[in-house]
Amino acid sequence: MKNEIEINDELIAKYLSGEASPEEAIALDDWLQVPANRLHFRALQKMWEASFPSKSYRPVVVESAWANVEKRKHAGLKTAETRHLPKSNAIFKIAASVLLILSFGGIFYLYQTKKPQDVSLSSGDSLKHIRFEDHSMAILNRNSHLVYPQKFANEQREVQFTKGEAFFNITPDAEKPFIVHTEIATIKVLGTAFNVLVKADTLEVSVDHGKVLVYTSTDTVYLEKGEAAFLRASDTAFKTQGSNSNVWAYATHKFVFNNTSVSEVFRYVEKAQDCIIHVANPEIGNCKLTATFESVSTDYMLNLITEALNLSVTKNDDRTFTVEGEGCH
Amino acid sequence: MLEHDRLVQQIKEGNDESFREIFHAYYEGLCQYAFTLLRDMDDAEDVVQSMFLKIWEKRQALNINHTFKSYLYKAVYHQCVNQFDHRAVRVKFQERVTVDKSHGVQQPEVFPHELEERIVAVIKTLPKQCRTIFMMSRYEEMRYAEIAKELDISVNTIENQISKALRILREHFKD
Repeated sequence: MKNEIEINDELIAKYLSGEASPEEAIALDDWLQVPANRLHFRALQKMWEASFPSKSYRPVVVESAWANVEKRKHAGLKTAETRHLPKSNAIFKIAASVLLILSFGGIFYLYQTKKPQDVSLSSGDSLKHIRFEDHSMAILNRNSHLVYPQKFANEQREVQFTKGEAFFNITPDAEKPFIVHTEIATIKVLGTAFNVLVKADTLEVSVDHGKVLVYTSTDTVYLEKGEAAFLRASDTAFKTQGSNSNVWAYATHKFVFNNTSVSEVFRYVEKAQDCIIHVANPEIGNCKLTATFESVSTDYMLNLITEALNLSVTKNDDRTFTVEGEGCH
Repeated sequence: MLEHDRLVQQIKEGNDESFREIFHAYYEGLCQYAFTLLRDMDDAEDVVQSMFLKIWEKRQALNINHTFKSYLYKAVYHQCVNQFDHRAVRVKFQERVTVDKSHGVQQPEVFPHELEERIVAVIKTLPKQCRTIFMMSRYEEMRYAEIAKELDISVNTIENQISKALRILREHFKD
């Protein structure tokens, strides 16, 4: 059989895109036997791979593959039962979703799950700590909702964050990005800690450390440590600004104030500790505070703050406090 | 060809050495091809190894009309496309339930390396249609036929635009 297929860049691109027919793949393979051709191919392949690094071709080790086949061959087992590569095949990946029905071209496809169901967690009026199977973790603030799988899929770790606020600390895995889907945008990271807030139709993503990619179909931002992005569902572009780690103090129990006005301090404390602080005199809010608190109770923290500023605090009940005093101008 | 006929005959007779020879000759090329179809190296190797095992198990019934090479490539293709169809369905499902409004183009990963960041910069400078098509193929993993339908253009145009994107990238990074 003579090959009539011409090898050019179109065909190489087609091959790399996974569109080549077996005949074209064979023709290309024959063509690649010439070293100069192989160089050209590798250069294009390198570009192709680099544009999506998590999905890169990995050179095979023929000897170990052969050893594997030998072992399975001699074991005399059926091929279907002997797959022992670390990752399962695509058919099992599909089974990952709960019973799903979708219409596609007018036909209904029906798949039944073979895996445990996704976990749908609502935090209600207390914080919820989640540890994912890859040891990444999330702390769900009050009144928030997260859906996550008991076991992540092969190529990426994906969760759906439907409402509220959550702080994520993601175990690095360059091969498997961690993706948080929200109604407004998608957040993709490799290993980092960040806070996500979905309130009404607004999304706010702030980075504690590491790098985060936030994107929609119309805009993309890269965020690094100390940066935050905001987007309303109706907007097409993100707004970025500096992030404030006190926003996610509910998760870290760490407050850092640097010449911060007391009104702002109290706002962060109220948010993180789920309490209400009444101020008897509006001038109290003008006072400035520089301090760091880590893992201390609300009572203790308010005592320290008021003492430092020559104020006084009274505890009304479990969740409400009143601060009195002269305040500042 | 004659050489291959001989190898096939020997495999049919259970000759382990011939089987090994065929495996070594084609394993890498087949894996690379399977990878382009599945975009997952583990899946690709799994498919190719399973196919070889199946050949060995059914060696007595082995019936090869054309060359052994075309037999192998076709077998891998069909196996992968089978899996691919399942995956395409799954991707569609995810898109629907998660971010409904993201009908546009997905964005790449967070890039840990400088080269990749530069590539993103170049991708941003590609002509609009070229960029959209490249990104749909690369990041949304859409097939040419799906892109053609979505954008209402011919598959031919897509082939042109994707190789154009690749060529532009290549020119930018000619070291």
